[in-house]
This record gives sequence, C-alpha cells and structure tokens, in this order.
Amino acid sequence: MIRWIVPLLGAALWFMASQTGIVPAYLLPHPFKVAEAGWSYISGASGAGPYAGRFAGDLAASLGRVGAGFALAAALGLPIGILSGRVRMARELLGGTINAARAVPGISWLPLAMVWLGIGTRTTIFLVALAAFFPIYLNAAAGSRNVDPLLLQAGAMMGAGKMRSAFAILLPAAMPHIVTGLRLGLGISWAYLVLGELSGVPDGLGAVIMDARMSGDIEMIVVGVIVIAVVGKTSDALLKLALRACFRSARRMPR
Amino acid sequence: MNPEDAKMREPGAGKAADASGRERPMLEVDNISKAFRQNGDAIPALEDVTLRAARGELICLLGPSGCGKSTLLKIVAGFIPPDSGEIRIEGSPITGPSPDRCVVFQEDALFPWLTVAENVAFGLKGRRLAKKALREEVEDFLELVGLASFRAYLPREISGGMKQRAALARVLILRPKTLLMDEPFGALDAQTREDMQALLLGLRERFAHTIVFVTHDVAEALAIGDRVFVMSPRPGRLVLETAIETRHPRERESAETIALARKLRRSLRP
Repeated sequence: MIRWIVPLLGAALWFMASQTGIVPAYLLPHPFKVAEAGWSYISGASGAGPYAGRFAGDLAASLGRVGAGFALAAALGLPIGILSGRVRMARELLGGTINAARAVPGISWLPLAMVWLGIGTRTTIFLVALAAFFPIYLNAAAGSRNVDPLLLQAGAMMGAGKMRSAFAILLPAAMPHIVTGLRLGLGISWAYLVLGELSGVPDGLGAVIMDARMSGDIEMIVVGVIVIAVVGKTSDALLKLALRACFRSARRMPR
Repeated sequence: MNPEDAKMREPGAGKAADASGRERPMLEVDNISKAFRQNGDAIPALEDVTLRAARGELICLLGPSGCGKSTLLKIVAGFIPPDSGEIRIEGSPITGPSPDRCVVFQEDALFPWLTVAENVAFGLKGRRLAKKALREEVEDFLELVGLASFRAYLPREISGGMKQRAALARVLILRPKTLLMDEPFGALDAQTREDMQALLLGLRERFAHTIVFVTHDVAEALAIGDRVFVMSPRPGRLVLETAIETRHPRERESAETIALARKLRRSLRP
C-alpha cells in the first residue's frame, strides 16, 4: 500500500498544477490529455490518430532489443565476473581493462557504435549489452569473491568435488549479489534502450518519444516516459520472479 | 573423583599408554609446525606438536585464544598444510579434506540456502544412494540430534544450539572416523552448552568416534575429555597432558574437579 502513496501524490499535484493553470500546458500537459493520448496509443485502431495502434509493435521491438542486449550482458558478465572473483589471474588480467572501459560514459560509445553497426537495432543492442554488462560483472565478481571460505571448506570436508562446489556452494552463496547485479543491469538496459532508439529507428518505445519530440507532441512524450517507467518496473518484477522460480537460493534469500 | 584418576604428565611421556600397546592409534599428529607470513615476517603459530588419539578417544585441546589450537585443527582437517610434520589416520598420511575427518565449526557454517534436512543430506547426496535410503538416513540423524520437527526450517530461523545440532548431524551421517570440533559450543549459553556436551557424549557412546575437541573453557574440557592437552600461546606448544578417567556423568563441582580445574588454569597462564 505504502508504495502507492508517492505516485498518487505526484499525480494529484500534477492534476492540480494543470487544472489551476500554474504550469502552462506547453510545459506540462493536462493529465487527462495525456491519458487520452495514452489510451489512443495503446488501444486505438491503427490510423485513428498519429500514434494509434503503434503500442504493440513498439513494445515488441523494444522488448526484443532489451532482451537481446541484457541476455548478452548476462551471458558474458556472469561467467567472467564469477571467474574474476575466484581466480586471481583472471582478476588481474581483466579487472583493469574492464574498469577503464566502465569509466567511459555509455553515451560516448554512441557515435562509435553508429559508425560500426549503423543506425538501428544492432547499435541499440550493443549499447544495452555494454551498459548492462558492468553491474552484472561487478556484482558477480564481488559475490563470488566474498563467499565465506568456511562454506567451501565445509563442502570439501563433506566430499564435494570442484564441480559440485562451484554449482552447489559457490553459485548459491553468491546468489544475492548476482541477483542485485542482474536487476541493476536490467534497469540500466532500459535507459540505454532509449538512448539507442533516439538515434533513429522506426519503432520502439524510445523511438516514439523521439517522434513525438520532432512533431512537438508533448502529450505523447509524457506517455512514452510513463510507459517506459511501467514496463521497466514490470520487467524488474518479472526478473525477480524468474530468478526465484529457477534458483532455490534466490527464493530463500533473506529479504 | 579419586585424585589417582587424574594423572598429570609431561606431554609425550604417556605415548606408550596412549596407543594402549594393542592397536595403532586412530590419529597420529607428528611434529607439526606452522608459521604464518605477515608483512614479510614469519609468525610461528605451532611448534613441534605431537599427539596421539586412540580409537574412540575424546581428546581436548585447551588453550587461550590465539594459541594456535584452531590452526592445528585446520591442519588435521586438511584445510591448510603444515610447514613440517605429518598427520596420519589409521597409519595413512592425510592429503587434504576428507569425510574421514569431519569438522564441526565454531561459527555457523551451515548452507543458509538449504533447509536443516537438506543441509544434513548434503554430504550423502554426493554418494550414490537411492532416494528413499537417503531420506531415511536423513530422518534417522535428524531424530538422533532432536531436530526432526525442524527439518524444513532454514538455518537463520533456528537457534544457535539447533544450528550446532544440525552441524553435528550433517557430519555424523557421513560416518567419519574422527570428529574435529572447533569450539563448537563456545557461542552458546551455559545451559545449552551443557545439553550439547551431554548430546555429544551420548553420540560418542553410540558411534565410538575419535574426537578432537578444541576449547578455551577449562570446565568444558574437564566435563567431556578423556585426555586434556594444554597449549601455550604463540607459538602453540603442548605444555601439559592430563588423563581424566572419571566415569560419565561427571560431578562438575566435586573437590577433585575443582582442584584439577585450578591446576589447568594455572598451566594456562604463562
């Protein structure tokens, strides 16, 4: 219940500001107008308005890009991170380079990515994967590095070999960090999705915001922002659910 | 307790008696030394430690904190190698950790993502065992330590005493030859500690484990030990060995126990 207080309060303030005219509509449109634009965007028949009926296609395109980029980041970040956390050689070999790359703001990769991969889906996936990689890698490394050596000793004395130690002790013991890294990575994925799509792609939730900006349709910009907030939050909840469904150790983490 | 029951000897003097002349000792610790490096200096932790434990014997290592008794236990467990010396179980030198020598740690070292029953099953799961047999074994050992009704709890949901019961069950189920116990009851309140000592003695009666029990508590050593070794601080050396032949259950407040406790306490002070 408590979590709804701030959004509802914000909506109420917005409504009052628009209703009384303190904030002019060209800066912040009236919530009812935004709701109207949103309704048309999400459920309107194609052709009924400038953005009507686009939602399903935009959502699918953006989900695909975030999904691909995030999956790539996890597929690289988790094993490299866990390895760096446990093996000194790997940490010294990769740690410096990765941290230097991390210091470069993601947005500075955009021009280079556009030159390498062109404008569009591939650039967007590249940016998402790049941005999501760092939190996933860093948390996996911290998690596997900080595993209590007592747990590994206990496993060894009970006869667990290397493979069993890795999958039955190391991985579940590092799970809280791994979950944190994946959630941070997915969160930042949405930020870089919008960045990638602003570079000029025909579809996607970020592209809608760009299109609306070009045509000065401020209602639609606000709709785009809200949709991304809702979809991002939902994807985080789904990620948590999926991890809990797949891993006993994620299910049993202290909350 | 008859004063004759408690004999004080210099360490090493009782070697022949330890082996009882009949069979090979279960555990032989021979001339173990170990130093740790710190800022380039070698800090000696253990110096030339030699001891024997017969099959089914419970020996206590008594010493102040930082005397290296836990280090000795970790070396016997195979977690860290000694600088010199050798450890043998039934005559064969050890090479690393093994279910031969199971440890009950001081802290809670249960796997926090596994229930009590899953923790107890962990070691057996690595062995080829039918599901049903495994479940029955786990039930038996939970029953044995009095945790049957807590099988589905996570470690963070049970008390410190229960955690140590679970830690005992998860190693007992592997039928270890020796149990290595590193101040396992040190963090428990006095009443729980006595309950756990009684539980351990009962289990020893049944399984005849050889037990090496590390403690800094004189009363605990006197309550459970067949023999007590006193270690000196930094570097850890065995300075005193005492056999306690009084039968269990022992009177904790008898004049003899108190006299012996005083003697041990004095030897603990440098």
